[in-house]
This record gives sequence, structure tokens and C-alpha cells, in this order.
Amino acid sequence: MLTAAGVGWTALTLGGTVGVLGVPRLLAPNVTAEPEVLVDIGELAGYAQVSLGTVDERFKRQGFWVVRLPEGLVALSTSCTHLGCLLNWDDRDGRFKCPCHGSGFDLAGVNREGPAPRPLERLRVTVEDGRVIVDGRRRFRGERGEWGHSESMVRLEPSAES
Amino acid sequence: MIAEAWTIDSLREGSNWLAHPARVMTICAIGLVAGLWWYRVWTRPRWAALLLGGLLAVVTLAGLDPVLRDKVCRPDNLAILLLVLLLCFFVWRGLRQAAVNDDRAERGEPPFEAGADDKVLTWPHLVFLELVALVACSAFLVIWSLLVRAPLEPPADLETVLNPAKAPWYFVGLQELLVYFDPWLAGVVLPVVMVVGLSALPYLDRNPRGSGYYTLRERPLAVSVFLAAFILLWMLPILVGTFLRGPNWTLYGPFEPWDPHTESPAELVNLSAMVWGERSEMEAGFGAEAALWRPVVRELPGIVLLGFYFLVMPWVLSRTAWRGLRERMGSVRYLVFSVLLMGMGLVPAKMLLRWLLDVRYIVALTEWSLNI
Amino acid sequence: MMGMLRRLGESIRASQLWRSVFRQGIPRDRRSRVLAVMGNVFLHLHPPELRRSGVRLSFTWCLGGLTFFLFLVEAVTGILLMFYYRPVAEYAYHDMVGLRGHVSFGLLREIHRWGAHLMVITCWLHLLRVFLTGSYRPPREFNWVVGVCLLVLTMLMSFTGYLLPWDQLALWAVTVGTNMAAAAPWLGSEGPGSSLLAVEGIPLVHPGSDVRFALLGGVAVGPAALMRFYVLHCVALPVLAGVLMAVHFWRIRRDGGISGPL
Repeated sequence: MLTAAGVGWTALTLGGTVGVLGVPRLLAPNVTAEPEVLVDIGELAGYAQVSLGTVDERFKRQGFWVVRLPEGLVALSTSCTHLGCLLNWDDRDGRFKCPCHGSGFDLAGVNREGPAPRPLERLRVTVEDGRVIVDGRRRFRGERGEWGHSESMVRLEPSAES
Repeated sequence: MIAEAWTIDSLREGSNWLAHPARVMTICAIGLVAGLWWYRVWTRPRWAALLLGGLLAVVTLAGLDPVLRDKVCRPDNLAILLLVLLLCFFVWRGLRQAAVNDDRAERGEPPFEAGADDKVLTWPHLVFLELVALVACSAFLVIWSLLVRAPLEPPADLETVLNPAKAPWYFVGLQELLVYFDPWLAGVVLPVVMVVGLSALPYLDRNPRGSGYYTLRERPLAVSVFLAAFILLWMLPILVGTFLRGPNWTLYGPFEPWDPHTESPAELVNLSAMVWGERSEMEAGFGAEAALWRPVVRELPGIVLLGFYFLVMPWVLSRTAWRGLRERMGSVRYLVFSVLLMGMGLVPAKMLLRWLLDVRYIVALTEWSLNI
Repeated sequence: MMGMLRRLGESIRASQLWRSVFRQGIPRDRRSRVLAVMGNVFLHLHPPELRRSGVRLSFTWCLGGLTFFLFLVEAVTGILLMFYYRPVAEYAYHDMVGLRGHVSFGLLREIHRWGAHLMVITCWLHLLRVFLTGSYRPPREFNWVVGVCLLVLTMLMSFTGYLLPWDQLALWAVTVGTNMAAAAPWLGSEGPGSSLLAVEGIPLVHPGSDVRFALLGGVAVGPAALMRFYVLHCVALPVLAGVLMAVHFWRIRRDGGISGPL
């Protein structure tokens, strides 16, 4: 074991292991300058008036749409679950469509066409002092059965007109 | 006059109908098989000139259409056109040379390239040839750069996206495959299989003949598999992705104008849902805590199908049609070869399932992000 | 007049300076031609003698040589471009626009871009040629593998360069490309198997710890990604390609130059 060859090979193995494991670790920074998404999207009362099936595109820059579903209000992620392209809302078809590989999602975020394997993620929505807050740090995934979570949607009564 | 317009319109419509990837792929596959079968006939200069003339005539005619011209004549597409032209030329030259050598071999003569003792000096023969090639290439590049500006799109913006958003042309083939496969397969596994398969070639192809000269008769399997992969699974998806995919990555015929509002394509279903006829359970999701076996049971049809495809078929083939091949290659090489070949075959097979039956995934273990 | 010029030329070629650089005159006989190749660091890449069929243009079409030449073109134009380009999100796009007017002839970016496309084309066709002539047979098997690695590197160099203009096309192409990395089995947060790698419900592989994060220096394409791709494009990948090219050429030389029938 203590021959020159033994010491040499041991050192090489150890060094190699440390290098292979360590260099990827050095690639990942400990701090990034990316903002955390915590957005106040307005009064809940205002959203209660909105008609069913409305898609609010004001917050696309922050990475979500506010969609009024029959059961309530959800914040749908704008990035395709296939490969993260930015989706476009096509109001004629009533679909969120991906320009990269042709996936399509319905109003509730369920994947209908194309290669997308799972529904759109829903961002956490909470109500504080009558204002709706969207929190991008917590996301609910339908295929994992997380859409039943109370914070995946702000429950609303069906609006008067429907 | 009316009759003429009618003919042109029906030609356009016919081409649009033909341009569906399923039909294009079939036509090209038949063309490739025929081209390899009758390679001694069509590669003769007279026939090849005729083919080239026909091709140019079709291209010129098609180029008269403003819609198609608008799609094709974009700066980045010039490279694709150049590649297609060069590829046609090199495939023709390669097969022509192969035909010459195979004829010689049948007459008992050595190949055209033979003559190991016939040597020439590097200086001046090779050095000046290289110099000329280099100057010609530089001249071509400078002229290209003078004539065509490098495109620049609007500045990067996270709020909007080009529609359609296409990858650089040499990756469009991969992007087109991504339509049919889950990212972990199309983006990771398939490229790795391609690279590994290419690297493994010299270790799998143990045929001692056909080394160092063009030939088809002495290595028919190797050449046809390689050309099929290169042309049908790599070049063709690039052409389809570039010229036939429009906004929202929807299919358009070559003469159909792109329109961002098109009807949604057919809804896709997973194979398990087709078998069990239920979709609601899948939508609700089993949840991460659900028993491990439930999704597996649900996806059993696809798993059995893939198992049959990857395990049983190579085994059956090794007992029947490919018995000789297996004996020549040995078990290990045959195993690697069959896995690679089946992996390659999975691509058109999955495409067919999508086109004919609207299948999204054969195995959809979405709970574990494992879809095939 | 002509006589004067000839005498001038002769005295230049006879001078110590000239002869210290070019040890012999123009090689005219067999011996000096062999020496000219063997004694020159650039030309000794070739063996002094080659089979006649290998030198024929219709056998190789010079595709490998042209790929190497285009790599050099890319290196030279790339260095020139680096003088004018800042890989910072705020400046990158403006520097690209500026290149059109601020540089004489304004051709730098065009030559670099079209040259890159041409390099991909010659690389693929070189692969096709080498395959069709069966030139990967022993003893050249491993050199074929090195060539495949060079092909992958060529495409990666093109791809990393794609982000640098910092335009819409670049942003979304790279978003898709790096999301594919996130789909890698076990290593990516979206890939199969990653959800199983968890300690007491806390995932080990998540968007802030997977391959994509290491590639981008963040969870989305941003300034950090631009810098990373710049360094990969300008330093890491070309150096790696250079090393592999040296191996590739060295092995061709050791295996007796361009292949031919046995």
C-alpha cells in the first residue's frame, strides 16, 4: 500500500473525485440577483366583478396571468411546462399557446395539445386586508394533486352575470 | 386562363397536402430505398443531370410563389439551402463513385482509389490543392457576407416572444423531435444516443471490406442505416421545422401563409387513457404520496409495448432474419447495435403514433416526470 | 531593368536574414520537397508522401481541412469582435447594433456568423465523406470518436455564440436549450428521478441546485448566463476544440495520412 505507485494512485483517485465533485459546485453561485416574485395584484373586490374566463395579462412580465375561473381566481405561470417558453394567450381559441413546440393549455391550465406533459403551474395566491397577493416562490402542480390546496386559488362565488 | 389558374391552385393545394410530415417522410423513405436500390442507374451523369434539371425546374416554379419565397428567403435559411444542395451533390458523388467501384469489383478489378504504391509528394500536390480550396472558401465567405446581412431581432425581452420561436437551424431538427418526445428524451437521451451511436460505429461495423473507398455493395447495411439516419431523421426534420412550421409551431403547407390564429390541432391522449378510457383520474393526479404501483399499473400497456419493442423484437430478430448478423457481430456487439437501432427506430415510430392515433405519450408517468 | 530586379532578388535570398528564416530555396527536386514538408512545423502535419487517390479532390473534397480553416477564420474574427463587444446585458445588444456602423466595412459579424454556419456544414459533410469511404476502420476507430466529439463541440460553439447578440431569438433559443438540461434524468429538477432524490421531504435537486442552475448561474436566462456563455464561447470550448483538433490531426498523420484501400 505504501509503495510509490500506491500513494500515487490513491492521491490521483482522491484528487480526481474532489475535482469531479467540486468543480460543478463552483459553477453554482450561492447568491443570485434574481428578484423574488411577491406581487400585490389589487383589490379582491375588483376581481369579484370580472366576468368568467377573463385572462388578465398585466402581470406577464412578472411571469403569471390572473385567470377568473368559475370556482375562483388563479395565478397561472406563463412558462410552458414543456421547455419553459413564454406562452401566448390566444383569446380566439381560448388557449395558452406555445410558440416553440406547439403545446396548448386551456383556461384552467390543463395541457390539451402538443408535447407538454403536465398542466401549467399555479402560483400561490393569498388575500391580505382585501388585497390579492401572488407569491411566485410557492407553486402548485396539478399532476401531483396540489390544486386542491387552499392557497392555489382564491375562492369566489360565481359572478352575478353567469 | 381560368383553366390555368385552376391548375396552379390545385397544384398548390396538392403540394400543401403532400407537405404533411407523415407524407414527406414516407415519400423520402421510399425515395431513399429506391435510390439505394437503383444506385447504379440514376447516378450515371446523364440521369443525374436530368434529375438535377427536374429539381431546379420544380424549385424555380415553387420560387415564383410569393408566400413560399417569403418563408425560404430569410438570411439564416441560406445555410440550409446551401447544405441541401451540397448534400445532394455529395450523396450523388458518393453513390456514383460506389457504383464505379462496385462495377470494377464485379469485373475483378481493384477499386478506383487503389494503388498503395502510387504515391505523390505532399509538396506541391496537396499543399497547392489546399491553398486553392482555402482561397475559394474565403472568397465564397466574403461574398456571402457582403450580400447578406447577419440578422438581428428586437432586443431580449422576457415579456414577449417571437412566434414561432425557432432554434438555430442546425438544432431545428432536434426542436422538431421535441414536439414528439418529452424533453428528457428528446433533449437529453436522444442526443446522447446519437453521439454514442456515432462514436460506436467503428466498433460495431466489423466488416473488413469497404475500407478506404466508396462502395455500397460491400457494406449495404452500414451505408443504408447511416444515410437513413442522416437524411430522414436529421436533415428532414430540419427542413420540416424550418419551412413547414409556423406560428404556435403549427403545421402549414409550403404555399399556406402563416397566420397566428389557427384552429387548434387535435387533442392528444396518452396511450394509457386510450386503453383504460379515463382521463379524469390523470388530470386530478394521484399525488406524490400515492402508492408507487398505481401509476405503474395505469401505464402498463405502454410499458409492455416498449418492453416488447426493445427486448423481445431484437431477440426474435436475432433468431430469424438477423441470425447471420448476430453470429458475425457476437452477442455484446449485437446487443449494443440492436438497442441503438431500436432507439433510432423509436423516433419514426412515435411520430407515426402521433400522426395516426394522436398519441401523446406511450408511457406517461407524469408523477415522476417520466414520459416516453 | 529586369536584370537589376533579378540581381536584387538573388542578393535578398543570399542574405543571412533570408536564409535564417527559409533554410532552403524553392524546393525543386524530390529531396528538397520532402525536406520542405518535414522541416516545416505547419506542413509536417502531412506526411511527405501521399497516395495519389487520397490527394484527388473528388475523394476528400478538402472538407476536413476547410473545417479547420473555418475554425481559424472564426478565431480571428472572434478576437476582432471581442474588441467591440461587452457581454453585459445592458450593452450587448447596443454593441451588436453598433458593429454595423462603427466598424469599417461592417463585415465582422457577417463573416463570423456565416463562417460559423459554413463550419457546421463542412463538419457534417466531412462526417458523411469519412463514413461513405469507410475511413473509420482500424486503426482509425478512435480518431472517428475524436471527430464526433469535435462535431459536438462545433455545434456547442455555435449554440453558445447564439446568445451573445442578446436579442429575442437568442433569449428564447437558449431558454429552451438550457431547459433541456433541466430535464436530464437525476441531474435536472424537471427530469425523471429527481423527485425521488429527497431527504425527509426536502428535495436535493431543485431549480436552485440542478444542472441548469450551474449552466446559467441562475434559474432563468439573465446577465449571469450571458457572461457564462461568453466565456464558454470565447475561451473554454475553443481551447477544448483546439486540443482535440491537435489529437485528431496527429492521429491522421500517425495512421499514414488520408485513408485509402488496403
